[in-house]
Amino acid sequence: MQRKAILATILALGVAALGCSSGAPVDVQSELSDQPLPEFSLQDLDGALFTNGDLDGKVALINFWATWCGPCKIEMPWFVDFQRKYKDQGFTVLAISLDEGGWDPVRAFAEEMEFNFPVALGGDPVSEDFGGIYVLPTTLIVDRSGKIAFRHTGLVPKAKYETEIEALL
Amino acid sequence: MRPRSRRSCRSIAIGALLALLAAAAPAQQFGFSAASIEPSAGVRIAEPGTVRVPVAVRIRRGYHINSNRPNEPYLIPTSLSWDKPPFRVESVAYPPAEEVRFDFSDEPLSVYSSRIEIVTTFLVRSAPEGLSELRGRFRFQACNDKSCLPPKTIPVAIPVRR
Repeated sequence: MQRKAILATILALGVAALGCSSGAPVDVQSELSDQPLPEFSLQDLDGALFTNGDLDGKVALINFWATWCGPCKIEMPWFVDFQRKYKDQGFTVLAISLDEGGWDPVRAFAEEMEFNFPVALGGDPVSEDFGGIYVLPTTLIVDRSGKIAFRHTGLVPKAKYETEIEALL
Repeated sequence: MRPRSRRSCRSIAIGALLALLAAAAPAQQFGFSAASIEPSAGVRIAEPGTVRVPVAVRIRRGYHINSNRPNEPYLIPTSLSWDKPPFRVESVAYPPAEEVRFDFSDEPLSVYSSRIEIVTTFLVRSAPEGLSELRGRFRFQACNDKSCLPPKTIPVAIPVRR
């Protein structure tokens, strides 16, 4: 009798688990993180290599984006603003594009949006190194010790980024 | 004896539940598609002439995909293509798009949502023997107002009847 009850519970919880999972990735999510920044080496817009070492001792906002991502466009002027405002305090933005079309669309977009921070071209390997980037924009805030302090998926308010950056500076 | 059996049953129950949840979690990330092809009853190709082949696409609530002619150059158009079509493709007709304004765009975007039907017209000169289905690919890129998913290509298979 008790065994039947346990089996019924498994079935009920299983059905509930599958039912709750629509399979949809989370649109907007912010979470605390204490993952170390992975090692990476990417070509930047000027053809130079940008590595995780370039972020040593800095607070960084790493943004995964693409030119076809509409919500990403909203954030870009914010990041230009952050770079201008906090650069002298040991802060940098790094924008990693996941465009499949190479540099041409990315370069044009960067010029149009007047990026004042490093831009790199990423792909599946770097996406995996960062724990899988399945939704854009995805934004990480990294502290001076090289730890990813916050991870955001989707478009989050500018003030949230600002609060986190200022707390880490 | 009985308490041990109860404990092992409980362990099995917890293990099964954890396995189920573990299996469900990656599906959220890897298996998700904002658009899917509706099953087709197939198309009858028995004699020469033109044949219309509709492909119905269901788009998840809350998401949109770009139309086949997005009005911004940086957007990825929706497209349907056929793998080695056995017949000449006369036309691929996409439905009219919706013009929707989003927070992230100055101008309205040309998008599809909910359900669309794309109709391909083939010119059949003679139906090849042994052809059981038409295969193609549907490419799209989906967003909602807060986030976007990477471009995706999914297979299309339309059964062929005689």
